Amino acid sequence: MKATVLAAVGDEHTGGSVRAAADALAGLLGAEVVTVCAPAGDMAAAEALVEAGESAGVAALVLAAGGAHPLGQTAAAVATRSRRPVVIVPGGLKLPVLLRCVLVPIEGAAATLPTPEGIFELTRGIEVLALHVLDASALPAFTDQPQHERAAWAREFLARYCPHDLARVRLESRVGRAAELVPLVAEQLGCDLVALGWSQELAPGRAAVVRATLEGSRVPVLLVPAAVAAAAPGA
Amino acid sequence: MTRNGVATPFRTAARRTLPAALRRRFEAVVFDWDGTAVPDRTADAAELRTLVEELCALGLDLAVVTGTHVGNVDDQLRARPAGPGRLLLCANRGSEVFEVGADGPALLHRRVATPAEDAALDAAAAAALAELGRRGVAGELVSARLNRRKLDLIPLREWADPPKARLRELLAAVELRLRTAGVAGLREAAAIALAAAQAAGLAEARVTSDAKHVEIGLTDKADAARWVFADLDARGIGAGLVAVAGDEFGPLGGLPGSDSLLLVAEAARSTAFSVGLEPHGVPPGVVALGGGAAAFRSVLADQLARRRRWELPELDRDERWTLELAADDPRPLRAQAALLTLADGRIGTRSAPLLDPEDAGGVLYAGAYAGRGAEVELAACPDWTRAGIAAGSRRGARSLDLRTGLLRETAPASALRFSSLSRPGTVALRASAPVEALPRAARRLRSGPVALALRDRRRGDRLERLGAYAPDTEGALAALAAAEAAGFERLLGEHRQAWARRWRGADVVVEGDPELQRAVRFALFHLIGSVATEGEAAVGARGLSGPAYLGHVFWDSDVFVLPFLAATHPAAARAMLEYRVRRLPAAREAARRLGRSGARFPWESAADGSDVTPPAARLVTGELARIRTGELEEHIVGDVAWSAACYLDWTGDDAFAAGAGRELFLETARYWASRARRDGSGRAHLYGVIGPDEYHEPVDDNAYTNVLARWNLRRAAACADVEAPERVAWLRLADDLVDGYDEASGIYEQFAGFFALDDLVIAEVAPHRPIAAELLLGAERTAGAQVLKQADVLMVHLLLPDEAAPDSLLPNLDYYEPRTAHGSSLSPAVHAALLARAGRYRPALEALRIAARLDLDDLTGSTGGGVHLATMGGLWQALALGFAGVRPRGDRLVVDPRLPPTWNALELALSFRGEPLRLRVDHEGVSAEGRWAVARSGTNAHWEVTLR
Repeated sequence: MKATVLAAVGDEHTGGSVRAAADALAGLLGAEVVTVCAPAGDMAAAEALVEAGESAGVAALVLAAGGAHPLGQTAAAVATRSRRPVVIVPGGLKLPVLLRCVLVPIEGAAATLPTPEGIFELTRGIEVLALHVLDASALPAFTDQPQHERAAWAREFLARYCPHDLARVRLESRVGRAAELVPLVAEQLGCDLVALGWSQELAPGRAAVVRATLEGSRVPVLLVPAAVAAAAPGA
Repeated sequence: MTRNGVATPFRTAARRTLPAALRRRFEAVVFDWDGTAVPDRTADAAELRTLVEELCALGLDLAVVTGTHVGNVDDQLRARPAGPGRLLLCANRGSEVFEVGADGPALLHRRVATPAEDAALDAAAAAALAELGRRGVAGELVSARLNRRKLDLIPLREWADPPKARLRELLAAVELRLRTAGVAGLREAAAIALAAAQAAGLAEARVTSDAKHVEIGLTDKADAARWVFADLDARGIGAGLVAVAGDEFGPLGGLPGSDSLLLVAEAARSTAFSVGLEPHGVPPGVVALGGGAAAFRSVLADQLARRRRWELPELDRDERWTLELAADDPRPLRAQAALLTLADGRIGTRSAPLLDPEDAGGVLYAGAYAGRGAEVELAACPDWTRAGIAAGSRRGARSLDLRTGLLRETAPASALRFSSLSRPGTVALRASAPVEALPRAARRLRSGPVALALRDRRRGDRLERLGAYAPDTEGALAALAAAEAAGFERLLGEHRQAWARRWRGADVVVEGDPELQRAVRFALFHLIGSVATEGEAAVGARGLSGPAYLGHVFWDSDVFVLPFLAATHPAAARAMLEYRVRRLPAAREAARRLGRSGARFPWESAADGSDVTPPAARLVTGELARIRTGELEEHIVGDVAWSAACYLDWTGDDAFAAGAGRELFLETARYWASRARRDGSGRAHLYGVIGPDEYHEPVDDNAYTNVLARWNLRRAAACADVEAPERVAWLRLADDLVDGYDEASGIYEQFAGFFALDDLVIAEVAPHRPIAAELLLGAERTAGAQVLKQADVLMVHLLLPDEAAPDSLLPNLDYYEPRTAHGSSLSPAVHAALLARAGRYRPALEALRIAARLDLDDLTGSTGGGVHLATMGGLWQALALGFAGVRPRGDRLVVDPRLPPTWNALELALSFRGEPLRLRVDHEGVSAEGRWAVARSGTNAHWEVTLR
């Protein structure tokens, strides 16, 4: 069965962007795009979209962001409930959408789970830049010889937190606040997509990086639920 | 017992189900003879002989401990084992030890009584018989053998030679005879004998009884047991791997059973079992098996069966020596692989679980570099642990025995592996795993940067793999053939013994801190395994435990690793120096290219001795930075000379001093002479360098570099046959080199202008230390502040205390420590050493613990790329130089200890001037074993250790 990317079109302002992003993703996956109607604020449509996403063969859902909420009401409802990866398309997306490089922020704390394998499944064939932002409160103790230390640390960091498809991944690191730096670095490095594993929790105090990325990103944001991280597209 | 090479079951030993405690593989069995191994001294021992010879052939060590003469046992047993396991006969109740070979027993040890002791034994025997006679018991002196006198308490015809089976009757008869005469049993008879011995001047007399006799001796079975356990320990066989068998552990006539003497303190973790009647039970912890000699043979038969089916050797689970990683150990798998690296000086094997799907393993061969320029790196070699073995999906627990360099893992694959310390480059593994995961029996040859030859054998779900690495195929095949000829068990025994030998000369004991103790041994384990003991040794920053830092050789090697080896195993230190000596031509060429004289060693070195420091690096901040250490961090030149002096201080190696060592001193001094510049006032300077504190670059007159260069010039000038003009010039330059010392404050200025920088005390602003201050503050602010990455001025006090201004340690420690971020993993151990010298135990122990736990807790986040060998060397220096306060001073060692109140003692195994030394520091003072004399110095300020 050929995999499917569901493009949820809400209105004519965002529909073109959503379709373009869905086409680009489908191109990576060799999937076909199925367009469905999901008007902004229509929660029944959102419910239907989540249900549609459960169908066999659906690799991802693509929706527009919007409204006061960084996700938009519809997108928030879908993204927090769907077991499928969801791509949130920002307003004003530059067309055409080309997916050549994805930025994958990695928290890299002691309790952090490895980056969802699903991100690599969905972005196969394109360059992966992993980004780790060192917070001032969690700076490393040692830097020894910088001409070797970063490479040594990066190799271990990726092996631990991003163990899939290591040959394709390059690690970028910054010092500062992740919420500020993720969209900034995505733009600086010319990434076409930001991909985040997440726990589908948008309650206050949770998912700060996801919120900030959705607010600041000018490129589509792929949210992959950690709970179904290992599920293959269309499974 | 093989037929056409196929093992057959041992047919004659009685089959019985053994208790759980005995259903395991032992590495040695220590046992009593009469009543245990044989029913009596006339019994046919043919079956036992076969068992003994076959067990020895499969590597088990056997030690008979008997009261009788060696001939009695040997005539009865007539075993002639060919090894690799050994048969020891400890005869004459602890006075003699023989090893049985093809030509029969050969004496290893004999306790020889002095004439005075013999006379005292005679007197004691006579007095005991007289006292017994006075009490109405007619005894008899029946033998006066080596070191003992045997008194018969019941010299009656019907009890002339009672078999063991009549022990109860015998005991009753003796007790009746004694009590009838008014002696309160066997116990009082023994007490009479002991009192007589002590009255005769034998304060340490041993009195034993087998019910019929009382013996007064200079030795007993306990002496034999202690000898055997010490001998096993010297071969890497810990007490936990030993079975002790007897038939009389329980009390007899109120006296401890004769075999209870085998249960010496050294045997505390052994498994003891009795095959005797034990009428009064066995002591706690002894397995009561019963069944006599037949049962003992069944235990041996069981051991034979286990070895025939390649049952994996067990580890001696001594927590002081074992690093245990549970199946769910939270450390990253690559960090685990590095921690568990098995290295033999030539190769290092990162230890990934045998069936693990992740490729965390890898093999590195010392000095085998690939690539060019700054990208040259230790080449990845074919991995002997992975070839042909299918990946699984689960991980088991793993245990590394630091004492023997053996790694054991449990299900889904149970395996034991080692990299032979006795045959560097040779590896061995036995595994039990799902059949489908294991390769077929085969020979494999892998080529790469070095060649690997493997031979796999299979027995059902068991795999035995032997392998050998060498620079070329022929070498690998030859080494493999030699390993095959030796066989797994002999390789195992050699390897264990090699590690035991190294530990005997290098161990550090910290009494009072078990966690630190294990961490220290973990560090020493890696230091020992990482360095070859012959030829040349290129010791990279992560040794042979991982690819990080590309295997490049830094000052870490010369200044942090080498001192441990110079003081414990000089051959390895000499091999490290040989690495530098062979690269003198490249160092001369580097100096020449800069228009200078002498030899300029590179900050980073690899195969050919050229500088392989990368010129740029991407930082954690994302910025691209120019790397100037290769251009400017020139203290490496003096560090190499210092390492040569360190080696000479410990060894007094005259040949090296007159040859290659002299060359190193002279050529490095020539470099400094051509590097220094004089100002208008005639003062000499070293402009534009980087000191150990790499947060500031370039700087002028770095105190450490200048003091080191000054020392280097003077050390070279002291060499024989230096032409006068050159010598005079060096000495003058040394006198003129500025060092930034301020007499008023007692503080060295780290470099010219340091005190003018922003006086930011990192200890007051950082959320924690150690911390990478350049990330906290930014590179620019850090460079503009008095913030140090690591000890800099204080390196003078650690490495060159005689060059530092008198009493300058405390003011410099007070000034610089709070300003040090410790952002280098080298820093904590240096500070631990110096804080200890200052008697500041709490911060010293805190710093020591960071150094000790650096890799165990992956404090850098990069342990997966290999362990930090220099930190491990620094840890040893903190203990030896800092806490124990040991320094060579000519032909003596000066010891000025600073023992924390929380420790009971600190012991160091050392080698000084070719003589082994075990030094002990406790709260009472300093002591040393062997040929060493320890005395207070004339001023009472320290201790001095000299050869007697």
